[in-house]
Amino acid sequence: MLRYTIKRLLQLIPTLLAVSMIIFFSIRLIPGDPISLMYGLSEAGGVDPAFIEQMREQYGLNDPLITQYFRYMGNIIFHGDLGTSIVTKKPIMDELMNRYQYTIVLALGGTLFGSIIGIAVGIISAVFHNKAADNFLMAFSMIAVSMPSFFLGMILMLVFSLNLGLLPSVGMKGVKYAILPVATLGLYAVGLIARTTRSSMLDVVNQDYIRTARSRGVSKTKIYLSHAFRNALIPILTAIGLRFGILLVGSSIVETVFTIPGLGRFMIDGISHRDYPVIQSTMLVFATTFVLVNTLVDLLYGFVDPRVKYD
Amino acid sequence: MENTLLDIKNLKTYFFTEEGVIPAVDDLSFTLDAGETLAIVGESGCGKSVTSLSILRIYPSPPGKIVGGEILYNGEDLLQKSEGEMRKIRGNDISMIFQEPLTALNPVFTVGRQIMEGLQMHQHLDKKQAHEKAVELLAQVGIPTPERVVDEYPHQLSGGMRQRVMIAMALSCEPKILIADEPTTALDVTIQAQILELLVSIKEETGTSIILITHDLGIVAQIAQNVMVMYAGQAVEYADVRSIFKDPLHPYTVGLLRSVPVIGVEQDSLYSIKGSIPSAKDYPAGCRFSPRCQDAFAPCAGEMPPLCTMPDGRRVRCWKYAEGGCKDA
Repeated sequence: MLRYTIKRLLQLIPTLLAVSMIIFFSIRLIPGDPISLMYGLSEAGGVDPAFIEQMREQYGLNDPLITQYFRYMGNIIFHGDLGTSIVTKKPIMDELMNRYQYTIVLALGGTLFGSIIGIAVGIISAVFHNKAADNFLMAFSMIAVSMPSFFLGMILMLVFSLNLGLLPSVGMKGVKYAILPVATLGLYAVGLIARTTRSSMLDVVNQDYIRTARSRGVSKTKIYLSHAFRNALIPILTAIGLRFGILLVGSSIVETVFTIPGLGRFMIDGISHRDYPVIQSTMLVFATTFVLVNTLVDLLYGFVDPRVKYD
Repeated sequence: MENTLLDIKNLKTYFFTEEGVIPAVDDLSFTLDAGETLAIVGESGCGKSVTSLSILRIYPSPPGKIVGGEILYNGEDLLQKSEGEMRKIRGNDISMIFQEPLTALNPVFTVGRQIMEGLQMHQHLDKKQAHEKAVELLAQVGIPTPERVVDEYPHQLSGGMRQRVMIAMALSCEPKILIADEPTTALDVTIQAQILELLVSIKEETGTSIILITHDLGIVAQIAQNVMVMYAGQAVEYADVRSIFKDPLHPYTVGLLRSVPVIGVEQDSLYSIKGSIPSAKDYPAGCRFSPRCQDAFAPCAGEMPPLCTMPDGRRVRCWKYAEGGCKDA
């Protein structure tokens, strides 16, 4: 088990290297570069072209891409340095550390919220298969998954902040502030998790061992929550892991709606200024978080189902 | 009889499907005495498994429904009991062993946990006591290293071991009735013999009544006292094991016995009953076996023969023995 865990973690290295390469080269396909966006285009007659050229030289943007890539990765690997923002001139690491906490709270909170509600909805749907409750809950999860989060966020804000005055709508200064953004993100995850739970449970309840449990007098509640759920868990865990990735990236929209200084907004700002080091570093942090969580999900399989072999 | 444990009267379990109503068990009556081993024999689809699931009321529902009859256990009708009352009986008074032990055991729980569950639920043992009892039960069913197996998962055991675990589970609460639904079908022949021996020895030790559901007449001869032959949801012959093997009355029973290969006798090909089981959606009018019956004559296709009691107490559903009406029906 320990050997397998170490092996899985080592496998992350080539994955992340490939990811870093894709990120690095693909963002350079976006038209425009940070210097010309910052100082205006020379053709418009704004800034002296010689100055622009000098700035480009200073940030190493005139070097061949491959040189730039190795310099960037070298700094990360050997110095733990993510570089400085071209726009703000501040070190990216500090900014990232500061913002990461908000995003991870949103993404993990949203995943947790979505998992709890989604699993509950899915189990109830499976128990009342094809009855009114099932149809109602499946319609609800369909709506939850179809509603764009910027819209849902504003509706929640309207109801809970403006009309009821219960929760704050802007910023992130405590637990109370996290409720609405987490719910906005989480509701999006409910749909898929509920549907996966329902179909996985329905698969399992027709198995022979469920009949065995019934033949021994186990109550219906216990059959569903213990015997069947544990067997249905693997597809559910997979769905949760995948949803986490979507919520992680989706947090940028929620951060914008709720004015939270998280990583997502940092990345969006970086993209609009073509602030290469910022985009690269935030995306790399997103990717690392995502692969780590999914590795964790893979490792959990073994705890859930003893038949899963590690080798 | 005083020591009648289970008295099933006119049981009808029907399945209401989109294609129509399927009378899986149709007007079935039989009794089980304390200490008796009754074999229910028949081809696949004759309703023998549904009969056993009906006793515990765990047949798939919907579409299944018991539409008539009584299942008297110690004089009380199980069909009148609430679900909660039934749960106290399942696994405690009446328990069941299934055909395929790999799929019938929960793959994500240890063997011990599955045995302990019933003990904690029905016998109100605490965790430690239940664990000790589980090890004891595993030893009782002939598992060589019970202390180790108790913490293992079903997939780590062989087929025979799994079936022993199933039996240990079923026996855990000392049931009055053990229903074994094809307990050896999925096992190797040598393992089959061991499991049968185990069932026989358990019966001798505990005096549990056994309902053995099987299509294997060899097993029947080994351990049953009485045999009920089922065909198309009905009992066609119901007698003690000796009479069935020595002098079968119903043409279907005769056919079943003839299709068993005999050691020491040269046979070019095995005998088989011609035709196949009719679809439950459209059973033939009259005797349901008549289209396949070699002895069929005029009345067979017209009206369903009654289950008649013969002078020696055996019962048979065939016009050959009921012309002019049953003596007692």
